Amino acid sequence: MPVKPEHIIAKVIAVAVLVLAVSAPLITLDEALADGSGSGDAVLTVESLVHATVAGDTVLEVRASVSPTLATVGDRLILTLTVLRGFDGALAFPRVVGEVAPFEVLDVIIHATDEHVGSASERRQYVLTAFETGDLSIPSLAFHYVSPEGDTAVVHTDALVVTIESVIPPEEQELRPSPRDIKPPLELRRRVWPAIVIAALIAAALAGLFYLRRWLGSRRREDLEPEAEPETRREAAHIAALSRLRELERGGLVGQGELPRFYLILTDVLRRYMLDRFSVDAVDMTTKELASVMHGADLAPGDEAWTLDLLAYADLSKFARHVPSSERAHGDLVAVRAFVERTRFRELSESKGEE
Amino acid sequence: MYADIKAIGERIELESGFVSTLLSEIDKVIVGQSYMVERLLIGLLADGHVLIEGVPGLAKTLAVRTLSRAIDTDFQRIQFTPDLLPADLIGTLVYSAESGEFTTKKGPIFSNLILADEINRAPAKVQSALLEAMQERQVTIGSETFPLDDPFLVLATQNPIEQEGTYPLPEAQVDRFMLKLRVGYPSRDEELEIMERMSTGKEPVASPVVSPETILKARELVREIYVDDKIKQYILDIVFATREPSAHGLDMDDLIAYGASPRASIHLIAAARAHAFLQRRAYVTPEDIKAVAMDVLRHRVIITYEAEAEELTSEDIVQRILDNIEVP
Repeated sequence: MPVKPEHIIAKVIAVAVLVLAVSAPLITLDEALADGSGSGDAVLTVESLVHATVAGDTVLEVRASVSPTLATVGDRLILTLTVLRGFDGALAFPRVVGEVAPFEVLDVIIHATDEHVGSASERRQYVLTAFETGDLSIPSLAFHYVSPEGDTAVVHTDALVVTIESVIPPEEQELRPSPRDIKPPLELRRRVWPAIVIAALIAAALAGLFYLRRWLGSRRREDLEPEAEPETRREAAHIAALSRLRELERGGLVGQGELPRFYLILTDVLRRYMLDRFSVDAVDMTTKELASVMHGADLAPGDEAWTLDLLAYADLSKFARHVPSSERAHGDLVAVRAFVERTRFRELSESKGEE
Repeated sequence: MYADIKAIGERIELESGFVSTLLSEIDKVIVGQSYMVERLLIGLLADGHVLIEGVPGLAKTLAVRTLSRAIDTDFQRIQFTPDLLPADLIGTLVYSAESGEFTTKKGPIFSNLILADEINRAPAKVQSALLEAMQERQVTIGSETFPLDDPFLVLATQNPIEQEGTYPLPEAQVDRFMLKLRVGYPSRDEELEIMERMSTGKEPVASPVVSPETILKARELVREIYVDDKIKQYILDIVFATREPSAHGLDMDDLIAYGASPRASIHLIAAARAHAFLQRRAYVTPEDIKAVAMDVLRHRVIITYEAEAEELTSEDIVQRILDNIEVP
């Protein structure tokens, strides 16, 4: 079966993608190492090698190295811990995260255990960084090993010293003030009293507005209430009524047959007299409404019945086109005049005199 | 002329007998609420729709249902809900697979008496469909227009509390109701009687005592009731006072945002005629106007924020106007 060229190209691309994918962690680690050489110096490694023996046999060998040994603040350093131990024993790696101050652990790479005849090799790499300058030390780390027979061994690595330099060139460091000398933020003294006073003023203003609104509302309601009738109107009520009755009589509406108009004026005179003399708001009331409030007025029972009869009869003339006789109209005029005369306001002395 | 009015009066005496029969039949079911029942009759006689507002349990729905039973007419109760659609109300076109044609399926609005229960619970499009039918007295389904039955009366209820999840009727649509009633609680004695009636375990039901023809005949008579020019002027005084209070000696310009519409005058005169009919009178007096003015105007006078801030309602404003406009 012939191999097609496109199959070859596809295979080449697939292999290339696979190589790139496999090499990706290596690149990451290389990048970390490259970052560590940010200062431009050659990558140097400091290393410590320690071992432990049990019953004269070497059962644990620990190699700790850090690279590079010279870096600037923020650069990445690689701490590599390689352990060669007895095959059957159990090993406890030291806790590194949080234990290597002033360094910070950015990442951890745990490699697969490499098994040999009678022994096993384990390797872990830690990506570190530091934000302090000077000769900084990665402290001694303790490895615990327990052999199959129950013998224990502890190995402490040596402290590893790394020099961290500032990003500011040495010649400029003297000129720039240290950021550590920046003063902390000033703590403002809390003034409580002004806040209390302002809050009290706001509360007082709000309460004032509330009561002002209520007061205005009550005033408006009072304004809407009908005004109290002045005493003078009460005293002069009959004068105005009698004057208008004289005018009505002189007008001759009865003779002209304009009886609805006659009754309109006659009842208006009567209603206004009731309003002025007895403070009964007859002007704005219907006959039925008037009947319900006249009990409270200072009227004789006979006058009350007579008034309502007249108003009901006048309603027929005003609203139902009923034409009363001239005699009836004239009689009603006389009756209203007599009612006004009978009920007009009298001073106490005048009343006694009449008696 | 007075003879004509007298003649109408005699006809009213003869033909208004059904009113007392109807009231006594309703009275078998409804205890008290005479104000509401009388207003429902006014709506029926004046051919005007009625909106009833009151807290739950005041027999709003029962009163309307009883009225419809006593009149022996078609009655439909439509519970307005948020998921109601206009087609549920007016009807729709239904495809018939057998004939391959669309046929019209009329909705419940094709009835004499409609109870639109809790009208403010349905969305605006449904309210709009109902209110359009109320105004036009006809419904268009597809391309065909159908006239509604006569008498056609919508009695809607709404609850003034629990406003969450409701769709308040816009002013323009509320204006189409002739009367807006505000129903109150029964008195102590009335409530005692309600308890006694309801504890028997047998709910009283009204019997049909009046035919729709009688109502239609009474309506014609109501339209003949005499309204004097002085009464017409009095109506105009009241309606115009809601628009220009200061021109009528009332210091309320800043309390009224919008006054009553011309529809208010039309409905006021119609309702006053119906009220006079119920009083067996052949002419309208200022008493008739005052009796119905609050129900005609309370939903048509829109108050300002200032009035609201002063805790005044449209009813306060209308009452002030009625108290201060001179009676002829």
